[in-house]
Amino acid sequence: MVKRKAKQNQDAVLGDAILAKPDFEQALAFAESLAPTVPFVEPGVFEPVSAVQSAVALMPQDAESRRVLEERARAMAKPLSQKQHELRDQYLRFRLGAVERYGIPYACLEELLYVGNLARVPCTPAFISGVVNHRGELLTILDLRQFFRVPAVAMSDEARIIVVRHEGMRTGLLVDGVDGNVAYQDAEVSPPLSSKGVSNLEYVLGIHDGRVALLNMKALLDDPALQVHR
Amino acid sequence: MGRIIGIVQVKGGAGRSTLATSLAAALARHGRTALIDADVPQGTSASWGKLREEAGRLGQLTVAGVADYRALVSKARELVAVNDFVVIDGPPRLAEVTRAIMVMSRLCLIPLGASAAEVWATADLVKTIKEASARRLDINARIVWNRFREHTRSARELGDAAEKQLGLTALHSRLGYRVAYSEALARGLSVEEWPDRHAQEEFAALVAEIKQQLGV
Repeated sequence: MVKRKAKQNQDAVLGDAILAKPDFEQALAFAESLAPTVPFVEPGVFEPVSAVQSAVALMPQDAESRRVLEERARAMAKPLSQKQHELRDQYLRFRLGAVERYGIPYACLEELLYVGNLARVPCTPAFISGVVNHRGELLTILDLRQFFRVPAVAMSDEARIIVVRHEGMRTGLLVDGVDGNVAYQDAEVSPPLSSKGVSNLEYVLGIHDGRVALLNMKALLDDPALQVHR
Repeated sequence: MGRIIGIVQVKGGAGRSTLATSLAAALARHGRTALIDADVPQGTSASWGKLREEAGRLGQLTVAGVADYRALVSKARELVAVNDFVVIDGPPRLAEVTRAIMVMSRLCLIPLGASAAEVWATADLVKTIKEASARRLDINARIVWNRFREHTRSARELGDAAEKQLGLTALHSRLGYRVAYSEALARGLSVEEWPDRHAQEEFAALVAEIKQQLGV
């Protein structure tokens, strides 16, 4: 009796629709009502019959377009970690002189300063512009134009000091103007061209976009000429 | 007419075949039982059945494999007429086969490990249940917590949150994180035939609860 009552309760919980199972016709109908997946379209043999297919038909079908689309699909399908890595590689682009463009990797950037009271220091090389009082600390300012022997132009109000830090050493770099941030991938950086007309080539990591020299901050700040405590 | 128990989960490796095989073996001790492997060509349950057949352990159990939803419905129709229980092991996809299983089953079990990926995957099943409900088709689905670490707070919290978030009820019995399940499966055994007392007890409790759900 008790068992029967329990069974009745169970039936009440399940409901008539569940107890009537299995209904094979309904199962088939529900299975077949699944929205059709996007069909694979063979180039040239396609007849548009639905909105999805029409959209597919609008895609260019020639070999070159397919190659480009495939390349794009591969790039978009890259794992997230790789994308993040690529995004992390950015540099700050700045100008020296009228035409030369340089970049400093983001990893060693600290901040940008307006050119304020720059105090010359006697008996220092020409590429040391001087020092500034930066938050109570003396910051040595390096004139990169002198260092790279870039023809000087009159200093405009676009000139800035880029504060960089590498392995505990902070230095200010005097530049003629800052253009902004550029994202790049290692693969886009070509090796610097060897040329007799270029000074201090060892401080260049590579050339991005055919015209921006990415600076090797480690080599630059490790230069014995900059070791002022000697 | 027998009762169909469907085991569905769109995420692979959630423990569908583990649950299906041990459940089929357990039910076969109570009545004539068929196990349909609808995850062909992978065919984990079918391979398990083959091992079991070779060892002469099938008893009241019949094992069959089907390649598509039409074959599945036709096979289920055939087997449900001559068995007390029909257990269907679904594919790890939200395909026609999965939809047919959900509608056919008297009880639809969704094995779920306490991981976010499995909870997300289950959200797609919930959509299908809602879709069926909109067509006046009732689906009687229950979560079966699998590889559950009862003593970890994160598992308990994720478990409660998932049930709330998915709007699905879970069976009270939970399967723990035990080697017994994979070892038994690989040897054509049910977990109740594997010498791990904890696994045997928790699985027996699950089978009892499932039978209660089926009203037998």
